[in-house]
Amino acid sequence: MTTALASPLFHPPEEGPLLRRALLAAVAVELLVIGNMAFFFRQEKPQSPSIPPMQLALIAPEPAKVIPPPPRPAAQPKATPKPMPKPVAKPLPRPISQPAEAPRPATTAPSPLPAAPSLPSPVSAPPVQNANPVKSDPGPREDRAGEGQYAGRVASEIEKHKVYPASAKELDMTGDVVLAYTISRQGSVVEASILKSSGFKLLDETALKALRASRFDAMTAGLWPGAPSKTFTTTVHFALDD
Amino acid sequence: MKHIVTPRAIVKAILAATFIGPVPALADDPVKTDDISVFGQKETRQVLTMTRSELSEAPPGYSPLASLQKLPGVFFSSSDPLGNYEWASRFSIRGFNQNQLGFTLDGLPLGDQSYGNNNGLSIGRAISQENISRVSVSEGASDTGTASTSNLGGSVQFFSVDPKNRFGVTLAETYGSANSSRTFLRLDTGDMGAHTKAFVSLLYGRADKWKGYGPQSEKQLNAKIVHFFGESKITAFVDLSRRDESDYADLSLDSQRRLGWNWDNYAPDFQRAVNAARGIFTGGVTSVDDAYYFARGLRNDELAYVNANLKLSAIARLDTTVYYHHNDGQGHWYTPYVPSPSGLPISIRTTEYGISRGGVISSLVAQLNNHQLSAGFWYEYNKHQLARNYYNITSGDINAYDHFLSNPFATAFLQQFNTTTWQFFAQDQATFFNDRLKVTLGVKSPHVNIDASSLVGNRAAGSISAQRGLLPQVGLNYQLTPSENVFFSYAQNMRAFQPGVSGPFSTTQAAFNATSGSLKPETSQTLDIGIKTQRGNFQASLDAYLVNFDNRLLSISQCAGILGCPSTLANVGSVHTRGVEGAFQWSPVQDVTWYNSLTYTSSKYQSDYLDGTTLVRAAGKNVVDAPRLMFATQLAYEHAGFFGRLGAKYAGERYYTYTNDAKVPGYWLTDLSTGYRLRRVLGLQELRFQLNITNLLNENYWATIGTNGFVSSDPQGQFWTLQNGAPRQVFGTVSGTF
Repeated sequence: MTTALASPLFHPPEEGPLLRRALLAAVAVELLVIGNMAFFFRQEKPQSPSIPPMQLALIAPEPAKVIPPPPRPAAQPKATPKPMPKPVAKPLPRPISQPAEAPRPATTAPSPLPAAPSLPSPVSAPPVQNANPVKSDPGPREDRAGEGQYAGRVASEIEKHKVYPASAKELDMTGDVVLAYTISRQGSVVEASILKSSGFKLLDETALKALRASRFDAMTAGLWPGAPSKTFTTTVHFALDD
Repeated sequence: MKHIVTPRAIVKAILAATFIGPVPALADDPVKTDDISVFGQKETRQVLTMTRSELSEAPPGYSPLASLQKLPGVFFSSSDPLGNYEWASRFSIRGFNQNQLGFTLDGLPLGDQSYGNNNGLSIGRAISQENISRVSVSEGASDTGTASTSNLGGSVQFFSVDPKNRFGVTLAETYGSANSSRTFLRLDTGDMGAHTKAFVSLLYGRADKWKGYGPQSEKQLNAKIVHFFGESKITAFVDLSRRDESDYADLSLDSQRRLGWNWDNYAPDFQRAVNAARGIFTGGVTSVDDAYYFARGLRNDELAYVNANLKLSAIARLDTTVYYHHNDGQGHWYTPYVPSPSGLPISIRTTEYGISRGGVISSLVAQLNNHQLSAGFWYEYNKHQLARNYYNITSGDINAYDHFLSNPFATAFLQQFNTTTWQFFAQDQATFFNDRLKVTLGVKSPHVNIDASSLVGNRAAGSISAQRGLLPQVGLNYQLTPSENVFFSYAQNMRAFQPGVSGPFSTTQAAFNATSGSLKPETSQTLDIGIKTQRGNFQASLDAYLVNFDNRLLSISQCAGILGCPSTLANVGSVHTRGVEGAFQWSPVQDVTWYNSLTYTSSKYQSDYLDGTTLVRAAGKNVVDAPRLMFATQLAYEHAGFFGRLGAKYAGERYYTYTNDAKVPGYWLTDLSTGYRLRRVLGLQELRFQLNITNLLNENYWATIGTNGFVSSDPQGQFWTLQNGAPRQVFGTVSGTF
């Protein structure tokens, strides 16, 4: 069979014509499979988890919070004027109801309570996502996008410390652990617990260890403003190659 | 006032539904982050591992050994489409056949994989393919702790799945070519409390032969229970298997030319078989051995083990398994050579097997700084009974005799073997330079003793031992760069003698007395060197090896194989094997994986030998049934529950005589698998559809050679020891998990 190696397909020479047909069939099937794959691949583009678009209506409730503590805004006269022009400019319906008042805040920038007159009546406060009584100033607008990103970073940080303990692998321990933990504004974990056990103490403890080894960023002002800390839940899946 | 369903409300609802235990005080509106997946890869020294997901893409019931074909160095052949038909399925790694490899299931020895089992069983009978979690192949140096006294060329380790964490019932139904059907039912209890979970599965599969007449069927029960406490675990496993395989005829190059690729045994045409037995041949038949009326193999197996994997301390772990295996087997052959007392010229000749073996495997592993020390032992006591009987038949109704026969009218031989096996091992795996260098030093010491008695007939009785004080093993693994890894290993191995129908006691007493004193067990020395790389979505490995195989034992047929005259075990000297193999896997685009492997092996006998008074010139000749060149390719696509896989395997020509004067050509084999999985639909946890096509291009090819053994020479191609592979077969499967 010395000719076998010379033939690029290493096939016995006596099956020449059959070989060509077989190869054509094989190539055709492969092209068909590749074609199908390309079709599927083109069709579906992975959607990155999107943060729900900010609803402009949600900006409306802020002034409602602002009303109780007058002294605070006095301390931050600089901060307040900045966000003001925006809400005023965008919500076109509002000027209809309070046309006279809308432009005023823009012109009287240093005024401590410009936000209040601009949005008192037209929008009755829609249910507030964050019901924490606001101790902080009305200034920092809740940064929904930032909150989503912070939550993402929290999960990534814990993931960096993930490990599958050798004993667990050895014994085929698998399962899901749901962690509940509270992160302070400064970024430290003030509380951590197992909300739902995986059924294995080893896996539960490994998940907690990963959490405790994590270092989180401090929360910027726009993240859950007014809250001294924030509670998160994370599900950790432990699975073996199966 | 707008009412929006807040995330807070959702979280509270979820918590209320899934929560177990005392209520933790949650601050308002906890934010649910993305999930984190921790994926644990079972770290084995061997690179070659096949997981459940890949095994499940093959047709249900497909032999896991057949699934390993794409790996470099691996060769598999069978004449049935699923690779389960034991008489004609063959597995080899680098030219070492399945009698020269070690096979274990969850550490438990599956024994020598000869057709005539004497100390074990095939993987298909030990566990249902659906319950295999992964297969690890080690070529050359296998772990010193592997419970096998046959692993000259490496080992294949199977592992069973653990019961699922969640309650569920899975039902899978397959229909396919040749009236094949397979039903698999499995119940998982989920956590029953006290960290205990279990599963029970039932399997029934049957198919007609793809040519000829007769069914091939299997029934199997598997059950497993696991209990965790701390970082320890207790496992118990039970397997019951009942198998009935009708045989395909063994062909010769000459008989295939005269009678065609679809030639098979005569059943149900009993008259034609009776005529042939009387010397009246028709339709191209020229010999009484061109075909027989019918033949079948019956195998009943029971297997059980209990394992305790105990964490003794922060640094030490004890793993102990106690196992038991019982087997009854009968091979039926409608022989035209011995007439029945009823007057018919045909009777049923059987080879009857009984195995009752039990053993313990135990190992202690301790982690001391950078050394992982392990030591342990394996003990097995095996009682094997072997008989050859002749039974009367009164008609050609094969169903009248499809059970274990009793009351023979003649017994050719009856032997009993008691085999005691002790094997000790010790190993140190040390890491240096911050885990960059791994050095493994191991040693094992096997001691096997067989006491044989002959109760009827003139086969041999006596005792024979095979032992080695120390069989060393050295392995080095060095992380050359963050992506590249080089490895080296050297191992010495020994294959103990086997009791049974083709071991040293299968010869006459006189021959045994003359040779047993000087008969040496087979030994091998393997040297392996290679490099592995992993860069992004590309992984590759390249391996070169050298094997010197001494005291190779060959059972030489001295008449037509099936007539079963005592074979002679001969020491044919050495075999030298040199080879290079490589494989790479590449993901050119997301969801697409392309795998290729190439193997070149040169395996040659080093000496001539004497067969009676004839000098067989085998020196420099290629080892039988070892293809020199093999190539495998596989293209796979997987996306959102859909998968498609196209694979092709080439195996080069193979010889079936020791003088290399008879061979079968090389061939290509192609297969296609595709499937779709839906989650949480129609009230089911999961619904799967799968289509499998084996031998996609419908090739006619010689699959298994040496079914009746090998001979020194067959220039006219008249020795009936070949079987051709199955034509294209299609299987469709639907499975649902509740």
